[in-house]
Amino acid sequence: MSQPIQEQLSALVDGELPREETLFLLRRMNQEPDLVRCWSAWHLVRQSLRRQEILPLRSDFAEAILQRVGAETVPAPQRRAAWLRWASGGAIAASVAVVALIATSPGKPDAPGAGAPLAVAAPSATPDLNGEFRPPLLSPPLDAQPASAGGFSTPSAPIDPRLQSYLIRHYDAAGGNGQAGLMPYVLLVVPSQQAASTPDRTAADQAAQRR
Amino acid sequence: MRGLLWFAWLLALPAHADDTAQLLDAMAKAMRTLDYQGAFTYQHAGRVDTLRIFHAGGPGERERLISLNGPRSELVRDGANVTCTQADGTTFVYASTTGRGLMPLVPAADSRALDEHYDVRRIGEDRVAGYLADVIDVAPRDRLRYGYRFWLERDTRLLLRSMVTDGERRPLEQLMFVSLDIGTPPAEADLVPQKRGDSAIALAAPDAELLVRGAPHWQVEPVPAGFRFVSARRPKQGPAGAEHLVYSDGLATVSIYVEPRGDAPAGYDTLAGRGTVNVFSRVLEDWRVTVLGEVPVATVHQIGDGLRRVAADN
Repeated sequence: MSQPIQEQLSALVDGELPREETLFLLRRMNQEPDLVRCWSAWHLVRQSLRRQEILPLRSDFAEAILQRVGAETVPAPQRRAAWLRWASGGAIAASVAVVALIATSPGKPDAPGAGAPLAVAAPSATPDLNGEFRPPLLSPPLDAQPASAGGFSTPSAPIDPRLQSYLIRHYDAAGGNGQAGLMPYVLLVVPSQQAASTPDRTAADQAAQRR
Repeated sequence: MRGLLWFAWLLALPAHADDTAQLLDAMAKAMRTLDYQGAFTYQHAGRVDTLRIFHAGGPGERERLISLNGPRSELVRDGANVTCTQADGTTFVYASTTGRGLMPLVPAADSRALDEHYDVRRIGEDRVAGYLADVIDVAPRDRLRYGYRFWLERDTRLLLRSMVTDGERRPLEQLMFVSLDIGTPPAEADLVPQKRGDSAIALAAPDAELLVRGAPHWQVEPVPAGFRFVSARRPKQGPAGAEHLVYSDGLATVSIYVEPRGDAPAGYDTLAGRGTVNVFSRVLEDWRVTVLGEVPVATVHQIGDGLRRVAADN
Protein backbone atom coordinates (compact mmCIF):
# COMPACT_ATOMS: atom_id res chain seq x y z
CA MET A 1 0.00 0.00 0.00
CA SER A 2 1.50 3.31 -1.07
CA GLN A 3 1.92 6.31 1.17
CA PRO A 4 -0.60 8.59 -0.61
CA ILE A 5 -3.27 5.91 -0.41
CA GLN A 6 -2.70 5.54 3.31
CA GLU A 7 -3.04 9.26 3.76
CA GLN A 8 -6.24 9.25 1.75
CA LEU A 9 -7.55 6.41 3.83
CA SER A 10 -6.72 8.25 7.01
CA ALA A 11 -8.53 11.31 5.71
CA LEU A 12 -11.52 9.15 4.86
CA VAL A 13 -11.61 7.69 8.35
CA ASP A 14 -11.54 11.21 9.73
CA GLY A 15 -14.20 12.29 7.27
CA GLU A 16 -11.92 14.87 5.74
CA LEU A 17 -11.48 13.51 2.24
CA PRO A 18 -12.94 15.63 -0.61
CA ARG A 19 -15.81 14.11 -2.54
CA GLU A 20 -13.91 13.32 -5.74
CA GLU A 21 -11.11 11.55 -3.92
CA THR A 22 -13.60 9.68 -1.77
CA LEU A 23 -15.38 8.24 -4.79
CA PHE A 24 -12.00 7.32 -6.30
CA LEU A 25 -10.89 5.63 -3.10
CA LEU A 26 -14.15 3.72 -2.72
CA ARG A 27 -13.75 2.37 -6.27
CA ARG A 28 -10.24 1.33 -5.44
CA MET A 29 -11.30 -0.33 -2.23
CA ASN A 30 -13.70 -2.42 -4.24
CA GLN A 31 -10.75 -3.98 -5.98
CA GLU A 32 -8.24 -4.14 -3.12
CA PRO A 33 -9.39 -6.14 -0.09
CA ASP A 34 -6.25 -5.01 1.80
CA LEU A 35 -7.45 -1.44 1.70
CA VAL A 36 -10.82 -2.44 3.16
CA ARG A 37 -9.17 -4.40 5.97
CA CYS A 38 -6.95 -1.44 6.74
CA TRP A 39 -9.91 0.92 6.70
CA SER A 40 -11.86 -1.36 9.03
CA ALA A 41 -8.97 -1.59 11.44
CA TRP A 42 -8.49 2.17 11.58
CA HIS A 43 -12.19 2.65 11.95
CA LEU A 44 -12.23 0.25 14.87
CA VAL A 45 -9.39 2.12 16.55
CA ARG A 46 -11.19 5.41 16.02
CA GLN A 47 -14.39 4.07 17.47
CA SER A 48 -12.58 2.64 20.48
CA LEU A 49 -10.75 5.89 21.07
CA ARG A 50 -14.01 7.79 21.00
CA ARG A 51 -15.68 5.13 23.12
CA GLN A 52 -18.35 4.62 20.54
CA GLU A 53 -20.30 1.47 20.01
CA ILE A 54 -18.22 -0.82 17.83
CA LEU A 55 -19.90 -1.38 14.49
CA PRO A 56 -17.82 -3.72 12.35
CA LEU A 57 -18.21 -3.17 8.61
CA ARG A 58 -18.98 -5.65 5.94
CA SER A 59 -16.14 -6.05 3.49
CA ASP A 60 -18.26 -5.03 0.54
CA PHE A 61 -19.49 -1.79 2.11
CA ALA A 62 -17.63 0.28 -0.49
CA GLU A 63 -19.52 -1.39 -3.28
CA ALA A 64 -22.80 -0.86 -1.47
CA ILE A 65 -22.09 2.84 -1.06
CA LEU A 66 -21.06 3.25 -4.69
CA GLN A 67 -24.21 1.52 -5.85
CA ARG A 68 -26.40 3.77 -3.79
CA VAL A 69 -24.59 6.90 -4.88
CA GLY A 70 -25.04 5.82 -8.50
CA ALA A 71 -28.73 5.06 -8.03
CA GLU A 72 -29.48 8.45 -6.48
CA THR A 73 -31.36 10.74 -8.87
CA VAL A 74 -30.30 14.35 -8.55
CA PRO A 75 -33.12 16.92 -9.03
CA ALA A 76 -32.89 19.23 -12.03
CA PRO A 77 -30.85 22.33 -11.08
CA GLN A 78 -33.37 24.95 -12.19
CA ARG A 79 -36.07 23.57 -9.91
CA ARG A 80 -33.90 23.63 -6.84
CA ALA A 81 -34.55 26.20 -4.18
CA ALA A 82 -31.53 28.05 -2.87
CA TRP A 83 -31.63 26.36 0.49
CA LEU A 84 -31.51 22.99 -1.23
CA ARG A 85 -28.22 23.71 -2.93
CA TRP A 86 -26.24 22.02 -0.23
CA ALA A 87 -28.20 18.84 -0.83
CA SER A 88 -26.97 18.37 -4.39
CA GLY A 89 -23.56 17.04 -3.53
CA GLY A 90 -22.14 15.80 -0.33
CA ALA A 91 -25.25 15.79 1.73
CA ILE A 92 -27.07 13.22 -0.37
CA ALA A 93 -23.95 11.17 -0.76
CA ALA A 94 -23.35 11.40 2.95
CA SER A 95 -26.84 10.36 3.90
CA VAL A 96 -26.60 7.53 1.42
CA ALA A 97 -23.36 6.52 3.06
CA VAL A 98 -25.03 6.41 6.42
CA VAL A 99 -27.85 4.28 5.06
CA ALA A 100 -25.28 2.02 3.48
CA LEU A 101 -23.35 1.73 6.72
CA ILE A 102 -26.47 0.89 8.64
CA ALA A 103 -27.64 -1.56 6.00
CA THR A 104 -24.31 -3.27 5.71
CA SER A 105 -23.66 -3.46 9.42
CA PRO A 106 -23.58 -7.19 10.16
CA GLY A 107 -23.60 -6.83 13.94
CA LYS A 108 -27.27 -6.36 14.71
CA PRO A 109 -29.03 -6.15 11.39
CA ASP A 110 -32.54 -5.88 12.76
CA ALA A 111 -31.97 -4.17 16.06
CA PRO A 112 -33.38 -0.64 15.85
CA GLY A 113 -31.02 0.56 18.54
CA ALA A 114 -27.98 -0.02 16.37
CA GLY A 115 -29.13 2.16 13.53
CA ALA A 116 -30.87 4.95 15.34
CA PRO A 117 -27.87 6.95 16.58
CA LEU A 118 -26.32 6.93 13.14
CA ALA A 119 -29.45 8.24 11.53
CA VAL A 120 -29.62 11.01 14.08
CA ALA A 121 -26.03 11.97 13.53
CA ALA A 122 -26.41 12.40 9.79
CA PRO A 123 -28.58 15.53 9.46
CA SER A 124 -26.66 17.46 12.07
CA ALA A 125 -23.47 17.01 10.13
CA THR A 126 -24.72 17.55 6.59
CA PRO A 127 -25.31 21.32 6.33
CA ASP A 128 -21.71 22.15 7.11
CA LEU A 129 -20.14 19.81 4.64
CA ASN A 130 -20.52 21.74 1.38
CA GLY A 131 -19.99 18.93 -1.04
CA GLU A 132 -17.62 17.10 1.22
CA PHE A 133 -18.18 13.46 1.75
CA ARG A 134 -17.82 12.06 5.22
CA PRO A 135 -18.32 8.33 5.19
CA PRO A 136 -17.96 7.60 8.90
CA LEU A 137 -20.49 10.20 10.06
CA LEU A 138 -20.66 8.41 13.34
CA SER A 139 -20.05 11.47 15.43
CA PRO A 140 -19.87 15.04 14.24
CA PRO A 141 -16.55 16.57 15.22
CA LEU A 142 -16.52 18.16 18.63
CA ASP A 143 -15.26 21.40 17.16
CA ALA A 144 -18.12 21.61 14.66
CA GLN A 145 -19.65 24.57 16.48
CA PRO A 146 -18.45 27.87 15.10
CA ALA A 147 -16.50 29.99 17.55
CA SER A 148 -18.48 33.13 18.25
CA ALA A 149 -17.09 36.34 16.87
CA GLY A 150 -15.37 38.59 19.35
CA GLY A 151 -14.75 35.74 21.72
CA PHE A 152 -11.05 36.33 21.76
CA SER A 153 -9.23 39.10 23.42
CA THR A 154 -7.24 41.54 21.41
CA PRO A 155 -3.51 41.65 22.06
CA SER A 156 -2.35 43.68 24.99
CA ALA A 157 -3.82 47.14 24.61
CA PRO A 158 -3.87 49.12 27.82
CA ILE A 159 -6.63 51.61 28.45
CA ASP A 160 -6.02 55.15 27.31
CA PRO A 161 -4.44 56.80 30.39
CA ARG A 162 -6.90 59.67 30.23
CA LEU A 163 -9.89 57.34 30.30
CA GLN A 164 -8.24 55.36 33.07
CA SER A 165 -7.82 58.48 35.15
CA TYR A 166 -11.43 59.50 34.44
CA LEU A 167 -12.70 56.07 35.45
CA ILE A 168 -10.71 55.91 38.68
CA ARG A 169 -11.82 59.40 39.71
CA HIS A 170 -15.38 58.57 38.71
CA TYR A 171 -15.51 55.39 40.80
CA ASP A 172 -13.86 57.16 43.68
CA ALA A 173 -16.34 60.04 43.58
CA ALA A 174 -19.28 57.69 43.16
CA GLY A 175 -18.05 55.89 46.25
CA GLY A 176 -20.72 53.72 47.73
CA ASN A 177 -23.23 55.49 45.57
CA GLY A 178 -25.49 52.81 44.17
CA GLN A 179 -24.51 50.98 41.08
CA ALA A 180 -20.98 52.23 40.54
CA GLY A 181 -20.14 50.96 43.99
CA LEU A 182 -21.26 47.41 43.29
CA MET A 183 -18.23 46.12 41.53
CA PRO A 184 -16.33 49.17 40.37
CA TYR A 185 -12.95 49.05 38.74
CA VAL A 186 -13.78 45.86 36.84
CA LEU A 187 -13.50 47.78 33.57
CA LEU A 188 -9.96 48.78 34.46
CA VAL A 189 -8.84 45.22 34.85
CA VAL A 190 -10.51 43.31 32.01
CA PRO A 191 -8.48 43.07 28.81
CA SER A 192 -9.22 45.88 26.39
CA GLN A 193 -12.13 45.08 24.20
CA GLN A 194 -12.16 45.54 20.47
CA ALA A 195 -13.05 49.01 19.35
CA ALA A 196 -15.54 47.46 16.95
CA SER A 197 -17.96 46.80 19.75
CA THR A 198 -18.29 50.46 20.59
CA PRO A 199 -20.11 51.82 17.52
CA ASP A 200 -22.72 49.06 17.83
CA ARG A 201 -23.53 50.04 21.35
CA THR A 202 -23.61 53.68 20.48
CA ALA A 203 -25.84 53.12 17.48
CA ALA A 204 -28.24 51.03 19.56
CA ASP A 205 -28.41 53.69 22.21
CA GLN A 206 -29.00 56.41 19.68
CA ALA A 207 -31.78 54.37 18.14
CA ALA A 208 -33.31 54.07 21.60
CA GLN A 209 -32.96 57.79 22.02
CA ARG A 210 -34.85 58.54 18.81
CA ARG A 211 -37.83 56.48 19.85
CA MET B 1 -50.68 25.19 50.66
CA ARG B 2 -51.40 28.29 52.68
CA GLY B 3 -47.70 28.90 53.03
CA LEU B 4 -47.33 28.60 49.30
CA LEU B 5 -50.07 31.18 48.67
CA TRP B 6 -48.47 33.50 51.16
CA PHE B 7 -45.19 33.06 49.41
CA ALA B 8 -46.75 33.71 45.99
CA TRP B 9 -48.36 36.88 47.35
CA LEU B 10 -45.02 38.02 48.69
CA LEU B 11 -43.46 37.44 45.30
CA ALA B 12 -46.10 39.44 43.46
CA LEU B 13 -45.95 42.31 45.89
CA PRO B 14 -43.88 45.22 44.63
CA ALA B 15 -41.32 46.02 47.25
CA HIS B 16 -41.93 49.21 49.19
CA ALA B 17 -39.68 52.18 48.57
CA ASP B 18 -38.13 51.73 52.01
CA ASP B 19 -37.67 48.01 51.52
CA THR B 20 -36.03 48.41 48.17
CA ALA B 21 -33.69 51.11 49.40
CA GLN B 22 -32.89 48.86 52.34
CA LEU B 23 -32.18 45.97 50.04
CA LEU B 24 -29.85 47.99 47.82
CA ASP B 25 -28.20 49.55 50.86
CA ALA B 26 -27.71 46.13 52.39
CA MET B 27 -26.13 44.96 49.17
CA ALA B 28 -23.75 47.91 48.88
CA LYS B 29 -22.86 47.54 52.55
CA ALA B 30 -22.24 43.80 52.22
CA MET B 31 -19.95 44.40 49.24
CA ARG B 32 -17.81 46.75 51.34
CA THR B 33 -17.89 45.31 54.84
CA LEU B 34 -17.65 41.56 54.28
CA ASP B 35 -14.59 39.41 53.72
CA TYR B 36 -14.89 37.40 50.57
CA GLN B 37 -12.82 35.94 47.77
CA GLY B 38 -13.77 34.23 44.59
CA ALA B 39 -13.81 34.18 40.83
CA PHE B 40 -16.42 35.68 38.58
CA THR B 41 -17.21 36.04 34.92
CA TYR B 42 -17.83 39.41 33.33
CA GLN B 43 -19.78 39.29 30.11
CA HIS B 44 -19.88 42.42 27.99
CA ALA B 45 -19.92 43.49 24.34
CA GLY B 46 -20.12 39.93 23.08
CA ARG B 47 -17.21 38.61 25.07
CA VAL B 48 -16.59 36.95 28.41
CA ASP B 49 -13.76 37.70 30.81
CA THR B 50 -12.91 36.01 34.06
CA LEU B 51 -11.61 37.83 37.09
CA ARG B 52 -10.53 37.00 40.56
CA ILE B 53 -11.35 39.12 43.57
CA PHE B 54 -9.97 39.25 47.10
CA HIS B 55 -11.79 41.52 49.48
CA ALA B 56 -11.14 42.33 53.11
CA GLY B 57 -13.99 44.38 54.54
CA GLY B 58 -14.28 46.65 57.52
CA PRO B 59 -12.94 50.11 58.27
CA GLY B 60 -9.67 49.62 56.35
CA GLU B 61 -11.26 48.10 53.32
CA ARG B 62 -8.84 46.38 50.96
CA GLU B 63 -9.43 44.78 47.65
CA ARG B 64 -7.54 43.16 44.79
CA LEU B 65 -8.88 42.43 41.33
CA ILE B 66 -6.95 40.30 38.84
CA SER B 67 -7.81 39.45 35.25
CA LEU B 68 -7.52 35.72 34.68
CA ASN B 69 -7.64 35.73 30.89
CA GLY B 70 -5.86 37.82 28.31
CA PRO B 71 -2.98 40.09 29.28
CA ARG B 72 -2.51 40.20 33.01
CA SER B 73 -3.64 43.35 34.71
CA GLU B 74 -4.61 43.95 38.29
CA LEU B 75 -5.92 46.58 40.62
CA VAL B 76 -5.30 46.89 44.32
CA ARG B 77 -7.33 49.16 46.54
CA ASP B 78 -5.84 49.71 49.95
CA GLY B 79 -8.00 52.05 51.95
CA ALA B 80 -7.73 55.34 50.11
CA ASN B 81 -5.16 54.30 47.51
CA VAL B 82 -5.87 52.66 44.20
CA THR B 83 -2.96 51.00 42.39
CA CYS B 84 -3.73 49.94 38.86
CA THR B 85 -1.25 47.81 36.91
CA GLN B 86 -2.02 47.49 33.22
CA ALA B 87 -1.00 44.64 30.96
CA ASP B 88 2.08 46.48 29.67
CA GLY B 89 3.44 47.01 33.17
CA THR B 90 2.52 50.66 33.59
CA THR B 91 1.28 51.31 37.07
CA PHE B 92 -0.83 54.17 38.33
CA VAL B 93 -1.29 55.03 41.94
CA TYR B 94 -4.24 57.18 42.77
CA ALA B 95 -5.00 58.69 46.15
CA SER B 96 -8.70 58.85 46.88
CA THR B 97 -10.40 62.09 47.85
CA THR B 98 -13.36 60.49 49.56
CA GLY B 99 -11.31 58.11 51.63
CA ARG B 100 -13.95 55.57 50.99
CA GLY B 101 -13.24 52.57 53.11
CA LEU B 102 -11.62 54.66 55.83
CA MET B 103 -14.83 56.50 56.58
CA PRO B 104 -17.92 55.16 58.31
CA LEU B 105 -20.02 53.47 55.69
CA VAL B 106 -22.94 55.69 54.85
CA PRO B 107 -25.65 54.40 52.57
CA ALA B 108 -26.04 56.75 49.66
CA ALA B 109 -29.15 55.51 47.90
CA ASP B 110 -32.07 57.91 48.33
CA SER B 111 -35.16 55.74 48.56
CA ARG B 112 -37.68 58.30 47.32
CA ALA B 113 -35.67 59.39 44.29
CA LEU B 114 -35.05 55.74 43.55
CA ASP B 115 -38.73 54.89 43.56
CA GLU B 116 -39.54 57.79 41.27
CA HIS B 117 -37.30 56.58 38.48
CA TYR B 118 -37.00 52.86 39.05
CA ASP B 119 -39.47 50.08 39.72
CA VAL B 120 -37.77 47.76 42.18
CA ARG B 121 -39.22 44.39 43.05
CA ARG B 122 -38.22 40.94 44.16
CA ILE B 123 -39.01 38.59 41.32
CA GLY B 124 -37.92 35.21 42.59
CA GLU B 125 -35.09 33.11 43.85
CA ASP B 126 -32.18 31.35 42.25
CA ARG B 127 -28.91 29.65 43.08
CA VAL B 128 -25.55 31.20 42.17
CA ALA B 129 -22.08 29.82 42.95
CA GLY B 130 -23.75 27.38 45.31
CA TYR B 131 -25.55 30.04 47.34
CA LEU B 132 -29.30 30.64 47.50
CA ALA B 133 -30.11 34.04 46.09
CA ASP B 134 -33.04 36.45 46.00
CA VAL B 135 -33.48 38.01 42.58
CA ILE B 136 -34.21 41.74 42.62
CA ASP B 137 -35.34 43.45 39.44
CA VAL B 138 -34.75 47.19 39.01
CA ALA B 139 -36.67 48.46 35.99
CA PRO B 140 -36.09 52.04 34.80
CA ARG B 141 -39.21 54.18 34.34
CA ASP B 142 -37.69 56.07 31.38
CA ARG B 143 -34.89 55.75 28.84
CA LEU B 144 -32.44 57.99 30.64
CA ARG B 145 -31.09 55.16 32.75
CA TYR B 146 -30.34 51.46 32.58
CA GLY B 147 -32.20 48.64 34.26
CA TYR B 148 -30.59 46.17 36.61
CA ARG B 149 -31.13 42.73 37.98
CA PHE B 150 -29.37 41.69 41.16
CA TRP B 151 -28.94 38.25 42.66
CA LEU B 152 -28.36 38.78 46.39
CA GLU B 153 -27.15 36.09 48.74
CA ARG B 154 -30.00 35.30 51.10
CA ASP B 155 -28.25 35.84 54.44
CA THR B 156 -25.46 38.32 53.80
CA ARG B 157 -27.04 40.23 50.86
CA LEU B 158 -23.74 39.95 49.01
CA LEU B 159 -24.09 40.45 45.27
CA LEU B 160 -23.67 37.08 43.54
CA ARG B 161 -24.70 38.05 40.05
CA SER B 162 -25.75 41.26 38.36
CA MET B 163 -27.08 42.20 34.98
CA VAL B 164 -27.37 45.63 33.39
CA THR B 165 -30.10 45.98 30.78
CA ASP B 166 -31.00 48.60 28.18
CA GLY B 167 -34.39 50.23 27.51
CA GLU B 168 -35.75 47.03 25.95
CA ARG B 169 -34.45 45.03 28.91
CA ARG B 170 -31.82 43.36 26.77
CA PRO B 171 -28.73 42.48 28.80
CA LEU B 172 -25.76 44.78 28.18
CA GLU B 173 -23.37 43.30 30.66
CA GLN B 174 -23.42 40.58 33.21
CA LEU B 175 -21.28 39.67 36.14
CA MET B 176 -21.55 36.36 37.94
CA PHE B 177 -19.56 34.59 40.61
CA VAL B 178 -18.63 31.04 39.72
CA SER B 179 -16.88 30.34 42.99
CA LEU B 180 -17.15 32.35 46.14
CA ASP B 181 -16.04 32.05 49.72
CA ILE B 182 -17.84 34.43 52.07
CA GLY B 183 -16.43 35.22 55.49
CA THR B 184 -12.84 34.04 55.12
CA PRO B 185 -10.39 36.96 55.27
CA PRO B 186 -7.96 36.84 52.35
CA ALA B 187 -4.30 36.17 53.10
CA GLU B 188 -2.01 39.20 53.29
CA ALA B 189 -0.12 38.02 50.20
CA ASP B 190 -3.34 38.06 48.21
CA LEU B 191 -3.94 41.75 48.89
CA VAL B 192 -0.68 43.19 47.58
CA PRO B 193 0.25 43.72 43.93
CA GLN B 194 2.29 41.01 42.32
CA LYS B 195 5.94 41.98 41.96
CA ARG B 196 7.04 42.35 38.38
CA GLY B 197 10.73 41.71 37.96
CA ASP B 198 10.72 42.05 34.22
CA SER B 199 9.34 45.51 33.67
CA ALA B 200 10.15 48.89 35.05
CA ILE B 201 7.24 50.31 36.97
CA ALA B 202 6.24 53.79 35.93
CA LEU B 203 4.61 55.47 38.85
CA ALA B 204 2.25 58.28 38.22
CA ALA B 205 -0.16 60.11 40.44
CA PRO B 206 -2.68 61.39 37.94
CA ASP B 207 -4.92 64.25 38.71
CA ALA B 208 -5.11 64.42 42.48
CA GLU B 209 -8.33 66.18 43.42
CA LEU B 210 -9.67 68.28 46.27
CA LEU B 211 -13.26 68.51 47.33
CA VAL B 212 -14.87 71.87 46.47
CA ARG B 213 -16.64 73.22 49.56
CA GLY B 214 -18.38 76.21 48.02
CA ALA B 215 -20.53 76.54 44.94
CA PRO B 216 -19.03 74.93 41.85
CA HIS B 217 -18.10 76.98 38.78
CA TRP B 218 -20.29 74.87 36.56
CA GLN B 219 -23.75 73.39 36.61
CA VAL B 220 -26.04 71.39 34.36
CA GLU B 221 -29.25 73.19 33.36
CA PRO B 222 -31.63 71.62 32.52
CA VAL B 223 -30.53 68.42 34.19
CA PRO B 224 -32.06 65.13 32.92
CA ALA B 225 -35.03 63.99 35.03
CA GLY B 226 -34.04 62.43 38.30
CA PHE B 227 -30.40 63.48 38.31
CA ARG B 228 -29.15 65.74 41.06
CA PHE B 229 -25.88 67.39 41.88
CA VAL B 230 -23.91 65.32 44.38
CA SER B 231 -20.46 66.83 44.74
CA ALA B 232 -17.73 68.83 43.04
CA ARG B 233 -13.98 68.40 43.08
CA ARG B 234 -11.18 70.39 41.57
CA PRO B 235 -7.73 69.24 40.50
CA LYS B 236 -4.93 70.13 42.92
CA GLN B 237 -2.91 71.55 40.06
CA GLY B 238 -5.15 73.20 37.56
CA PRO B 239 -6.58 76.55 36.53
CA ALA B 240 -9.60 78.02 38.27
CA GLY B 241 -12.68 76.65 36.60
CA ALA B 242 -11.34 73.15 36.06
CA GLU B 243 -13.73 70.89 37.92
CA HIS B 244 -15.05 67.39 38.34
CA LEU B 245 -18.80 67.40 39.00
CA VAL B 246 -20.79 64.36 40.08
CA TYR B 247 -24.49 63.89 39.37
CA SER B 248 -26.57 60.90 40.41
CA ASP B 249 -30.15 59.63 40.27
CA GLY B 250 -29.65 57.54 43.39
CA LEU B 251 -28.35 54.51 41.53
CA ALA B 252 -26.48 55.59 38.41
CA THR B 253 -23.67 58.12 38.68
CA VAL B 254 -22.38 60.56 36.06
CA SER B 255 -19.06 62.40 36.26
CA ILE B 256 -18.39 65.65 34.37
CA TYR B 257 -14.77 66.65 33.87
CA VAL B 258 -14.10 70.25 32.87
CA GLU B 259 -10.48 70.73 31.86
CA PRO B 260 -8.47 73.29 29.91
CA ARG B 261 -9.01 72.72 26.24
CA GLY B 262 -5.35 72.14 25.44
CA ASP B 263 -4.85 71.03 21.87
CA ALA B 264 -8.32 69.54 21.41
CA PRO B 265 -9.67 70.54 17.97
CA ALA B 266 -12.62 72.91 17.78
CA GLY B 267 -15.10 70.39 16.43
CA TYR B 268 -14.25 67.94 19.17
CA ASP B 269 -17.49 66.15 19.86
CA THR B 270 -17.09 62.46 20.46
CA LEU B 271 -18.99 59.61 21.95
CA ALA B 272 -17.45 56.39 23.12
CA GLY B 273 -18.49 53.51 25.27
CA ARG B 274 -16.82 50.86 27.32
CA GLY B 275 -19.01 48.27 28.99
CA THR B 276 -22.06 50.17 30.16
CA VAL B 277 -19.98 53.30 30.66
CA ASN B 278 -20.66 55.94 28.04
CA VAL B 279 -18.41 58.90 27.39
CA PHE B 280 -19.36 62.17 25.71
CA SER B 281 -16.79 64.84 25.03
CA ARG B 282 -17.02 68.34 23.58
CA VAL B 283 -15.23 71.67 23.53
CA LEU B 284 -16.94 74.57 25.25
CA GLU B 285 -15.04 77.79 24.59
CA ASP B 286 -11.67 77.28 26.28
CA TRP B 287 -12.68 74.10 28.05
CA ARG B 288 -12.83 70.47 27.20
CA VAL B 289 -15.88 68.82 28.75
CA THR B 290 -15.97 65.06 29.23
CA VAL B 291 -19.12 63.40 30.59
CA LEU B 292 -18.80 59.81 31.73
CA GLY B 293 -21.23 57.51 33.46
CA GLU B 294 -23.10 54.21 33.63
CA VAL B 295 -26.05 55.67 31.76
CA PRO B 296 -27.30 55.55 28.14
CA VAL B 297 -25.70 57.76 25.50
CA ALA B 298 -28.74 60.05 25.50
CA THR B 299 -28.12 60.93 29.13
CA VAL B 300 -24.41 61.75 28.87
CA HIS B 301 -25.27 63.76 25.75
CA GLN B 302 -27.99 65.77 27.52
CA ILE B 303 -25.76 66.44 30.49
CA GLY B 304 -22.88 67.52 28.26
CA ASP B 305 -25.16 69.86 26.32
CA GLY B 306 -26.66 71.35 29.46
CA LEU B 307 -23.38 72.27 31.16
CA ARG B 308 -23.14 76.05 31.91
CA ARG B 309 -20.56 78.26 33.57
CA VAL B 310 -22.16 79.89 36.59
CA ALA B 311 -19.40 81.74 38.38
CA ALA B 312 -16.73 84.16 37.26
CA ASP B 313 -13.11 83.58 38.15
CA ASN B 314 -12.89 86.30 40.76
